[in-house]
Amino acid sequence: MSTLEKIDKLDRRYIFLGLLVLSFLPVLMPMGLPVPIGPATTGSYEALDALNPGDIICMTFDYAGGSAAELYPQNVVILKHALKKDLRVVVVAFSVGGPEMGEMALEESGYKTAKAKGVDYVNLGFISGFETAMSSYAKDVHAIVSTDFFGTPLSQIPLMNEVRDIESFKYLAFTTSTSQDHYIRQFTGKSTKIVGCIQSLYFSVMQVYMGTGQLVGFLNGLRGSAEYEILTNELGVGAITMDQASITHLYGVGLLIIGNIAFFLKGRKSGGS
Amino acid sequence: MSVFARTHLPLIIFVVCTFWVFFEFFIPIPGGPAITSMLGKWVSAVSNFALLLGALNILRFHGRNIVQRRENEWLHGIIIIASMFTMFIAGLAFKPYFKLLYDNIYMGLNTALMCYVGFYFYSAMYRTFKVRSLEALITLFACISMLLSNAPISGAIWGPLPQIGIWIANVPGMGAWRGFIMSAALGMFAMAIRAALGLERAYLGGSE
Repeated sequence: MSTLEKIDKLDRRYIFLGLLVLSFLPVLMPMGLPVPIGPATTGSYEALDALNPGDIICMTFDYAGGSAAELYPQNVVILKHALKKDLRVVVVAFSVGGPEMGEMALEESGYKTAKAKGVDYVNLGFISGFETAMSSYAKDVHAIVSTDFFGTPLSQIPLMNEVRDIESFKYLAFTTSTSQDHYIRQFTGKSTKIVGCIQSLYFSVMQVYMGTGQLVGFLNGLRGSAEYEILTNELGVGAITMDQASITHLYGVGLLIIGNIAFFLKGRKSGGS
Repeated sequence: MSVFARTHLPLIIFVVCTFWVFFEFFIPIPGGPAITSMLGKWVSAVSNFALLLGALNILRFHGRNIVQRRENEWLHGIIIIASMFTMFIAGLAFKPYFKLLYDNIYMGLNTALMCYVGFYFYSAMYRTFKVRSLEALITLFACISMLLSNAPISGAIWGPLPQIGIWIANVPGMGAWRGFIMSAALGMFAMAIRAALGLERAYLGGSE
């Protein structure tokens, strides 16, 4: 087998090994590369930063462990920012795995230790019915939810006395590992400022909704959370993993280029012989 | 079950609900929002039954594999059913244990599975993404630009480098997505009208 063929048919285990090594390298030797902050993150940050102490915000948690690596740090940093601003938070989930993620984020952000449950924050748990549930939630929260995640009736939760519909929230950050269209359809067009927390995969789609003004901003995967962490000066997982992101993205670009050069040269060689 | 109960009744319920929600949105009807809100609650309740149905399906499918001792499957069946009941019982009666299991086992396994897929993405980049046409070359260029725009290091390599990917996302990407979103919305609207007129009956369990 010629060298070209060897390169073209490189065993995938070497590719895996390369990725593994390059993922660990920046952890052992941090490079501290600068992270430029984009308008989508700035928009998200400024919308929350403009709120007054005591304002109520809502966060949806529509993902589970598989997407947590990208989405969870975004939720944590937004909640940390909200805590700094002394905002009250309503957590809700339209996916089964969401309420637990919400609980974890409330705990890690410091809400659970610094604030009073039911007064400053509440986890409404999972509401089934996805887009229909979102529609009902936007129109009348009390019509679709009767208790919080722990079974406490909403009438006994002081925070919920001030929440009627989506316009009770000054700011709503939806977090999803799937399509965002449902949130755009049901939550935008009201006075509430809407922010999306998404995986990088959906970057282009979110640009559309930011272009139309339906979103004030969005957090683009781990990069988005790193940018937000820098803005809030609350460095966390996002900022720590940016060196890793740089190296592994370059590795991907390298693989694409080498793979195609080998493919091109092999084609020319076999065409010429 | 009679044809009326099997086909006509669900169709009548569907058509009445669809038209009610549609017209109530545009025309103010006294007491209308309360009825629409109640319909929303019903959808939520029905979705809960769907979850129960899913759980019963898991029991039926894997239970059969276990009873029949199907090779390479019965052991997985035991693990799945045992895991399901463990989480179910812990969630109902032992919340702290549920949290312990969720945070330390479910989260870890789920994340590991996703990371595993990530490795195959890299393998696919190298082994299958080959430029065989002009379209593939354009896709490759867009892909590299997007990767570089998302990597903080690219700005350090060459200042304007990240802007190429951002321009691709903001101009051709956004244009393509807008077209896609609008055509999908029109398609959904047409589909909804067909369903509301009783022309689309696949959800009744057949194409008739």
